[in-house]
Amino acid sequence: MAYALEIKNLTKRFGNKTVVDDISFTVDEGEVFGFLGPNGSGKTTTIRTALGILRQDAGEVRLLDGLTASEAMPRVGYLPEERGLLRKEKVSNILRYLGRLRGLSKADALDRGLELLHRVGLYEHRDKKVEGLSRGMTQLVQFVAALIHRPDLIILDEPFAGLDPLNVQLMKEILAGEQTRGATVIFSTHVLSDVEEMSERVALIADSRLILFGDLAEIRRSRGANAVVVEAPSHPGDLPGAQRYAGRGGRVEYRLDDGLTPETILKAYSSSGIVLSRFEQVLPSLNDIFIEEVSNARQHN
Amino acid sequence: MLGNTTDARIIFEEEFARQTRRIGWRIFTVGVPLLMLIAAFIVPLLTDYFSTAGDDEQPRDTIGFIDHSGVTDSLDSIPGLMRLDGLDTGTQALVDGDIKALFVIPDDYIETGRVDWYRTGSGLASEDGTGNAFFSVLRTAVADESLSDELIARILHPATYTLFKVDDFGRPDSSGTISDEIARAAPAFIFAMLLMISIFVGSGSLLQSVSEEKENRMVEMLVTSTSPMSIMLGKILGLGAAGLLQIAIWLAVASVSVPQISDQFSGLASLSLEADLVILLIAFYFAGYFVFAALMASIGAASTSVREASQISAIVMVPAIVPIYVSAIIIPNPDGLLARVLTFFPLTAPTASMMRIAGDTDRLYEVVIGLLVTALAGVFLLWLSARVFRAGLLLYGQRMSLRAVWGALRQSD
Repeated sequence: MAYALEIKNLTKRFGNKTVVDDISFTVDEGEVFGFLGPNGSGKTTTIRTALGILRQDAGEVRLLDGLTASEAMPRVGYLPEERGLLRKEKVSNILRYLGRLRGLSKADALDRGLELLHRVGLYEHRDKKVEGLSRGMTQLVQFVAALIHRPDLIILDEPFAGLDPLNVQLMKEILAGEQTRGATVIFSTHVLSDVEEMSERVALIADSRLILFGDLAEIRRSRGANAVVVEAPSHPGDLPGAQRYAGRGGRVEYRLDDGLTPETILKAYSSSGIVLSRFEQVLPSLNDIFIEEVSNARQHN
Repeated sequence: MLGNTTDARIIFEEEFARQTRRIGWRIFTVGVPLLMLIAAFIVPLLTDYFSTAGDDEQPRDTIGFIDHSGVTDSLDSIPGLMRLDGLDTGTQALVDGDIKALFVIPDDYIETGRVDWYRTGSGLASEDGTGNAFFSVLRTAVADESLSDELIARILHPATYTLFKVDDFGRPDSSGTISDEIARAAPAFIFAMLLMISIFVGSGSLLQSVSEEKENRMVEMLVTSTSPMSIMLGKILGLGAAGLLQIAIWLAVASVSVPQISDQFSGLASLSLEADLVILLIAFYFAGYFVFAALMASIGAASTSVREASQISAIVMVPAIVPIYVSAIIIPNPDGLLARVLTFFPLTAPTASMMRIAGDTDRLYEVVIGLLVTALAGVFLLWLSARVFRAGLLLYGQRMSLRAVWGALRQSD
């Protein structure tokens, strides 16, 4: 299997503080991968170390099927978490500069930059200085700079933070297009709905450690159903170990405590002689998994 | 060692273009020649206008004198001098503006040398040219009238020195006149001044460029595009080239607009200054710029803000100025202990060596060694600046201290 990113036992310390602690995970080529974690969990340090901006204290990082960070760099597009561009410089000049540094000719860098500016709705601002743009616009320009050389691996650190919903949607569409082109997309976030919408596989880190990694659907299934949705003309009385939340049109959701299975609920309805029009097991949401896993990790520490 | 040269070239081009597009650079580039033009043409015109205003009939520099001693009796009439009979007539001519100054030579002048000087208006007597002009008149007047015109001319200009230098074996060697000596010292001074300007302007921009990119996080996008060495090399050369262009424009304007400077240059050309000395000065210029630019880049990379970087950089600037500041010691004694010590320290070597060349040092080999030391220091500092640039990324948000920079340097490979 070819990996776009392979991280083995990565550890990074700042002084006495371990910021990334023995993390291992892989990202397949061509996938959109969600890198999750609460604020300050070590996501940005992991990304910076993977890209060779910081040096690891232990472990190994390989990109694009076995390359080192410096070897892979011309084929990588990177959007840093901390936004910033040369404030006194024109947007088109910055894109030309960064495009050239990523191997494009002067003309190609400018053409591609303008094409992408058009795509994100900033073409009219091409001759403006960066200091004249809003924060969101600057972020989009940086996003364009990350994609300007059609990279094989796109790494975005908190790409949607600070953007309005329309621009978030636009960015997601462009990234979907990049995936169709064959690029791998890795993005870090703590907004779980973005991950559920875009990624099939995720890695979750909390307090510097990897606590979850794999296929999102698989992870949810492995947790088992922790809720059921029932539609029926009437409902039995209180069921021990299940919290009932009433919805519209005779719809009820039961949240199941540990040890209680969906079958227990089904039996309760059939023993009461109630005919069900709908019975559906609900897998735990990423939100539930996130809260549970992060809380557990913090308790352990 | 030099990183990716293609990337360094791209950064060189972009930095050069960015610097020359800056409004501050353009104003400075145009402003200095503009001041030169004002000083060369407009100021003399204005001075002329104001000093002649309301005085258009009599020549403004006519000097009146009354001689009670008789020392000037043998003199023929001299243009610009007006012999007057009495003090009343003299002071009236002064008030009427017929003469600019009145000198009265008393009858005991030969014994005392005392002369009374009458003036109108304000201004310093020491700045008034009439005093010196009348000095020459008196010198001619007191010369024995039996002396020939040539002898009187020689009394007025008694010597033109021709200099000889005697080596350790007692062999004399002609080293020209005092004017030749001044002309020989001039290029060394010019190069020292150019280096100072380049250090202050060029490496100042470099300091700002590096610390700005760090402050606004642009640096993170750069280091994922190319190596720190390419970034540093491209920046140092790009901003250096912009500085050189600026100086070239100034020199071009100066040579056209300021006759004194053109004269100086033509004087140098006629002296046919030794090519090896000029090459040495140019080599020192570049080595010196490189040393300071790399140091500035390192400071910019290690600092967390532009302001902090500027404060620290001032410390580095001082050694460059010291040799010029003590040039009064170095030039008369170019092989003295102070001159020799400063030649071997990379931060003082460029300007100290230029001052030694100006002082016509006998130990040119020491200057060459100083050049090698400076060049090696330049290469080392370039390498160091790339490491500090790399290490600077580790200092995000941390307060800069030598300990923190050292720690980051050790981590930066």
